[in-house]
Amino acid sequence: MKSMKFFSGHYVTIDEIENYIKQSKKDNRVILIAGSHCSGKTTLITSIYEYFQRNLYKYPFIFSGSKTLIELERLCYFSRISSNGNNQQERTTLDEKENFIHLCVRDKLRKMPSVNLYLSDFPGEKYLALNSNNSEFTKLKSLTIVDHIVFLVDGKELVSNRSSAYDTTISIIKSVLDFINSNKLSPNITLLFSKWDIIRTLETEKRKSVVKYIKNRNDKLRAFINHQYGIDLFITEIAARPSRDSLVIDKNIVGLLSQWIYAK
Amino acid sequence: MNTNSKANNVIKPNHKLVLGFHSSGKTTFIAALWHFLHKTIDLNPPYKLTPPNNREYLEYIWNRWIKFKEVGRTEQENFYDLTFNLYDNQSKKNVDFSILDVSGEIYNISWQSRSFDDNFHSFVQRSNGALLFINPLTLHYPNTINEAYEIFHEVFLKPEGYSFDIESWFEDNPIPWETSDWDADESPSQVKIIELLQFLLETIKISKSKFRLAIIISAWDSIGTYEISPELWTAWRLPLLIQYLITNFQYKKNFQFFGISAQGLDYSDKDLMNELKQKDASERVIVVGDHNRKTDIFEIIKWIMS
Repeated sequence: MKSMKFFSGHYVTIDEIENYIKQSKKDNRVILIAGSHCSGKTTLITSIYEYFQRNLYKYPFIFSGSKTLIELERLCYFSRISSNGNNQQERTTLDEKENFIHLCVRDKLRKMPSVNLYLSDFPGEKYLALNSNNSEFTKLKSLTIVDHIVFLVDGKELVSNRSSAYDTTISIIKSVLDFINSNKLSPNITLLFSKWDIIRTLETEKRKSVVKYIKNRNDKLRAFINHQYGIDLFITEIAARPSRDSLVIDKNIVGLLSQWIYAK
Repeated sequence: MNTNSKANNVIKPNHKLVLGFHSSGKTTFIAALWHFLHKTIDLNPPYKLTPPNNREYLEYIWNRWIKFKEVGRTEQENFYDLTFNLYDNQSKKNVDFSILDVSGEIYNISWQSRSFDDNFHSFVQRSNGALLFINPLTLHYPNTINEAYEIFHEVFLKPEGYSFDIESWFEDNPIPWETSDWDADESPSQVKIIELLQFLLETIKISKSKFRLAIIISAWDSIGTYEISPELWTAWRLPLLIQYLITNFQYKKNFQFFGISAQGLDYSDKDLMNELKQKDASERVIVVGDHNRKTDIFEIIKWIMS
């Protein structure tokens, strides 16, 4: 018996996004989230989704639908279980396709129309591989239609090896921006420090040292990117997975969402 | 009354779906509705029914209902396309009110297979409204990161001397402490409901702004003691669903909330059952509208048809 097939509920591909953008009357935003493995890319996405499930009255955005509900639930499942106190997160698989999560969101007061957000969930290893061969960037179709690129710096790695964590991200940023610049593209760029709760809870002197290091590097990086590429770099930090004593989702996630939705 | 009707392309004036997963209260509602339309002896009912010739299914489920028995699962392969010819005593007009009762398994299968079968698809296309049943007693809620931490506090940070049987607690609580393969079927109920509504909006021919959706919280007798309205209960327990509804439909114009106890009680409560058996069957049915306002089953029908 023939049947009417709907969207799969799993990731949407870049080709599907291009079709949706053509058909949709709504605003669309394509967001790439780039970072080394376990830097917190998937946790960021699942935290945004979980906050819609939990915090209706506190935050300015509301959920309006998703074509990837099954994928979101699968990713969240691994955020919901714990084993001996260690939170587990399934590693994103190395897949050649450019896969995206879809969230349709709207401002809580419903003064603005809904916006479709397409969030990438790329494995960090892919970006490192691209970093060593510029021509590989041309295979990433998403870079030609992206509205925002978020580069993650792993807060946990920063504490143990700050120069490696920061410089690896700089290397990826420069390669991506070279490609963007040469193709006359103009997405918004964000540098995002993840797992900030780990830095926040360091003993005072160590915390001051890390924060001072980050501030110095950030100031130089911002100036460099502005001078070299004419781009204003937005910098923020989040603790998407809260520490044991905090049950409130980071307000900087709201700032990030606002930037994605309002700054096209 | 038609069963397993073939598809046609006509949008019937009042063709409504009865949506809801298994045990959400759909068929019990229909049994209670049949009681009010055909079994009461009200001198001035809001609607006068011209009984359909073939009412075998309606009589069967009503017989179960009147005897305080579970009305039973609707067979998966059967669609009951029920048309009631009503005379509205207020507007003095005849109306045809059609509802489609299907097994809740259809919706579970749709979630898994990502499709409607051909027959069901054609019914959905022709509909201009739906009654969405949600049973608070059978919902599956997620355990989020924050809740997991709350549970850690509860289990591991109790003061010394606190005696707590962790093994029994793990057995009784639904959090999977060991990593296991994820199963889409374990997704929270509100996610599945949203997906069903998304499928619905992709299928209906009528404009979304003209579609009427009655959200009916069943087993309301189990909620009523909280003195909370159906809309507030939904916002509290199903926040993602509320967000989806208010961004895709207009409250009061396109969607409205009701609470209903079509059974009137939990059938395991024998004392209350014996008490209700001594009363008019109509008194069993509890219906509330917004703001927890007491009303009757006809308000649901009137609203969904208007």
